[in-house]
Amino acid sequence: MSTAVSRRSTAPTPAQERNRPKPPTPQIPPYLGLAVLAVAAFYFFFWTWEGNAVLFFPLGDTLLWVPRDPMIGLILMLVALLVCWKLRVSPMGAFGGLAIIAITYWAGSNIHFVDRITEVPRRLTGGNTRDQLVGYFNPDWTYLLFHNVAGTSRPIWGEWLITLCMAVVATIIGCFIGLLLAMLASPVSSLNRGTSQTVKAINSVVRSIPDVGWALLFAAFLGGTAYGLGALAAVLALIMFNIGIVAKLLSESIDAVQPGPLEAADAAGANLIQRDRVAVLPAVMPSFISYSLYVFELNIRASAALGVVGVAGIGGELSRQIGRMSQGYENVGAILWALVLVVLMVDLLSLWIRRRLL
Amino acid sequence: MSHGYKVAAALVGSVLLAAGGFLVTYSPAAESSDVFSRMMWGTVIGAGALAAALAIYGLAYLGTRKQRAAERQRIVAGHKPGGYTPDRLDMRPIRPAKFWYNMALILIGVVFVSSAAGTGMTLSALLEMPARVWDSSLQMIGGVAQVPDEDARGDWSSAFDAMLESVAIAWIGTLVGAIFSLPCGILAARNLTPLGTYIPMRFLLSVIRAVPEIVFAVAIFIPLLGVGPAERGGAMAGAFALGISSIGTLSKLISESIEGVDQGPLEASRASGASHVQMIRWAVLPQVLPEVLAIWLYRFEVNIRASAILGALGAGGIGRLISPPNGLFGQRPYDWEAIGITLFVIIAITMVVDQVSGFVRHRVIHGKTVRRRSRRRPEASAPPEGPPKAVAV
Amino acid sequence: MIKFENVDVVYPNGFRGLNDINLEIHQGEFVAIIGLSGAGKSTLIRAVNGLVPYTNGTLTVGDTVVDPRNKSKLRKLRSKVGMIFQQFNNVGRISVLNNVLIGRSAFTPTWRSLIGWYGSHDREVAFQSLERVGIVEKSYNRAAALSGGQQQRVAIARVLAQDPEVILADEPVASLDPPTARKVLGDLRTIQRDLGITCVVNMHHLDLARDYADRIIGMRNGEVVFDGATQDATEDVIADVYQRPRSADDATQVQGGAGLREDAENATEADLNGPVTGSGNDSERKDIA
Repeated sequence: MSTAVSRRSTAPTPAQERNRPKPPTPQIPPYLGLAVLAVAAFYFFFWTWEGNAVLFFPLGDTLLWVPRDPMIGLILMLVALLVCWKLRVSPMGAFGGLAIIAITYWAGSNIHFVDRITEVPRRLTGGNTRDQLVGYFNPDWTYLLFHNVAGTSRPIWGEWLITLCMAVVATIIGCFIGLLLAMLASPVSSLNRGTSQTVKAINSVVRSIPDVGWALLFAAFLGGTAYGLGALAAVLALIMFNIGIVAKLLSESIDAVQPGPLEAADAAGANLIQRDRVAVLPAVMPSFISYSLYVFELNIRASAALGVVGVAGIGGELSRQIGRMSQGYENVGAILWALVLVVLMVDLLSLWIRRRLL
Repeated sequence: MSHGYKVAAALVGSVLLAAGGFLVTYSPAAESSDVFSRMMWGTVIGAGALAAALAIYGLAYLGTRKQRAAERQRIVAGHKPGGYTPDRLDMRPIRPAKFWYNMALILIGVVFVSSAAGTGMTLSALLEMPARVWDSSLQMIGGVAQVPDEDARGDWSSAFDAMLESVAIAWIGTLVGAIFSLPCGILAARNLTPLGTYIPMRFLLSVIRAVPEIVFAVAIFIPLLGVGPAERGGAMAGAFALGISSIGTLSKLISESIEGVDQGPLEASRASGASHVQMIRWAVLPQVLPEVLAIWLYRFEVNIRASAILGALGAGGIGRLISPPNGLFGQRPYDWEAIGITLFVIIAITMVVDQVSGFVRHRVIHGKTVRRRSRRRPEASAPPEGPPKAVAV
Repeated sequence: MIKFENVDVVYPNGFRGLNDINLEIHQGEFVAIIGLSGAGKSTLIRAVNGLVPYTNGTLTVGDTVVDPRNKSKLRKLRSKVGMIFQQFNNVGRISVLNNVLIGRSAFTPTWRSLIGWYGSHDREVAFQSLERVGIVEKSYNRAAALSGGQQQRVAIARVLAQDPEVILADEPVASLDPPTARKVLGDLRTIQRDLGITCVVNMHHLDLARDYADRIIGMRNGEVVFDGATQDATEDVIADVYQRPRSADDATQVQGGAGLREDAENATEADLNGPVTGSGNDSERKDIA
């Protein structure tokens, strides 16, 4: 073995060199186009630029200036292009890399990434950030267990019950409607192609409105003020939220159902509803149960969060406590810790059910 | 085919449940919280209704005893005209009692009733809803469809700004999650990591998954980075909260896809003496990278929706624009035209991002050729006997 | 009983599945259809109950004309025409009894099957069908937990539960091992004789077709090339149906490359056809090589 290796030469002979295929080199024009795109992105950054830090380039007797941050973005993009070129990445891949950098730059500047990051040490040392963090890690448990919601005779733990109740009700109704819609949305089990496309379009609209949006909309539709409306708006919002998730995931499962049993049911003269019931439903039942449990976990989190916009439940109390945080952070800390505990317990419960059933 | 005992068991169970619920309504807990007492009353009502239904069913079932016996006789005697007379009737298995299954269903029903009672929903409000929905939908559509005047132009631009800020928050959040999730996912994959690292990593990830993002936002990142509009750090707080809570899900999905890779290349590279890192780089990453990319993009779509709730808490984005007290839904009377415009922008941008990300995911996983799924319709199925090669000859 | 008059099937992609078929299958016959893959056997069978709509001609089952466009008439027809599949097509996650009850769909009101509460008559029919195929003791097992032969029996029971006048079977034994295949086909044959059901079966295995069928129909390229009693199906006829090339030159000229590939795919048929043709095939292949 060692002799074989030692007989190897370190450099190829000219004949070998000729015979070996060249590594594929990406073409130049697409890369030039990408460079133009990078410059265009630079101009876009310059156009949306809000800072005032500039770099100066003394160039003979004229003094060139460029905006600092967009220039850094441009340099990053060009370097990325160069690296892609050296690594012989295809133009499509290079475009992907360029797009990632450009979007990241845009997103970062949109949320003032650098400014805020540089301010973190100052906030940590000064102001009440330290007190806040300390307060959160020393929660006041007696508040959670024995106190009432301010100005009422409702205990805090009752608010937790409302949150759980909303999640349960919304999960059961939402998953059921979601099942029906999924049946209509999948071309396998739907009436016809048109129905399936329509239901899919409606479903993507339903899914694109976030749960907060639904809660606020229903609060307005139900005619109350957003604050103190009660649980109905939250339940309706969660139902919409669940319909979106279940209908999408489950219709994908239905798409993947084996066509054989469907054909058998057809051949036995079953009509559409019978076919869906006897051949489709049993096949997707495990995924339906699994999605329902997943949705229940999501609902616990969401129903706690939805209270923030003023519907019933622990979220409402959380936002009230956040509003009077000047009196101390221990109450908020207690709610947050308890929220983590409840979510953890629900996760464990659903894990247990999943193990038992599937 | 007697299932009388099941009926009896369910009857006893539901009566016990109703009685227990009724007793609990006199406990001090129920007196201090009306939610709890409502729930208990709901339990009583649900279990009571169930008991009544079961009792009626049981009585009816008892009433048919004679008929059932006659039927059995008839089957045994094989009187069915033209029917097949079985000679091995005793081979028929006894129908298994799905007792726990039925009990679970009943329990779900009772829990549903009691939770519905516990929420204390005033369902009468639903009656007035359709009229309001109709009114405000008309106004919203009018707001979107009109030629924008000065106000509407302001609504459009603020909606666009807020939604784009949400997209930016989601992007940064996903990026933060993505950067941390790849190493975490590798460390949480059983086939690449020794047990000593695997178990703590799994534990850490499940803790992160269990913490809702609003906790990260309120407890850690809003104090650290600020609250309010983007200039004051709210958007950053939202992005980081989303990012940290993304790590949990992303790492779990990535570690699952790593555990599902083809083991052959791993063995081959190990056999040729590759180090652990070399093996991951050349045998694992090429296999999972498309899937990982798809997971990241999927999470980006999820994060856009999740950023809204953080906005309601004071982190930036679309949630801040719509949520009370300062947002669109906090104004009285409702400015339905502005709400319509904002909803339209939300739907449009979310759907555009979904489409783009779906296209990229498809492209990343399936390559350049967009594979046409040949979905067989139930009627007129494609030729089942293979491709029509006989014609081509 | 089943009457094809100038029936054509053209698929949406332009492929001609059946080409001008004229056939009459009588009451109580057990007909085996043989042919290469892609010859149109499945299409023929599926045209009968409208799973594949025919595009031209007239197809009658009993007194009714099969009309692929009229869904409710088609359902009525399908309630009389049972179908057995190669992959059994049982719903794996529900019990055997419920699988058999799928066969009662056409006779059950929709709401009853929706909540899964079948009437006692339906259940009795299902049990009797299961007893006839001899697996009634598995009634409450999950269908997926059964072996292949048992699953195919469940499928037969499902069809029997329809009280069918015609049973169509699309390669019913192709995914079973030979002894099980013989047993299942034997059962099917007995039941068919007992009840006087017309039976149309796609066959891959020639010797099975010879042993069980009354009549053999050979198909090639969507056309019927042989139709006769089983004893008339001689080696020559079969060779014609399968288009075994007499020599390598013929193969390349007549069918191009495809002929050889199809031969290679259908090696089982070559084996079943007896040692003479089988070895002949092999030697030809060596010659080409």
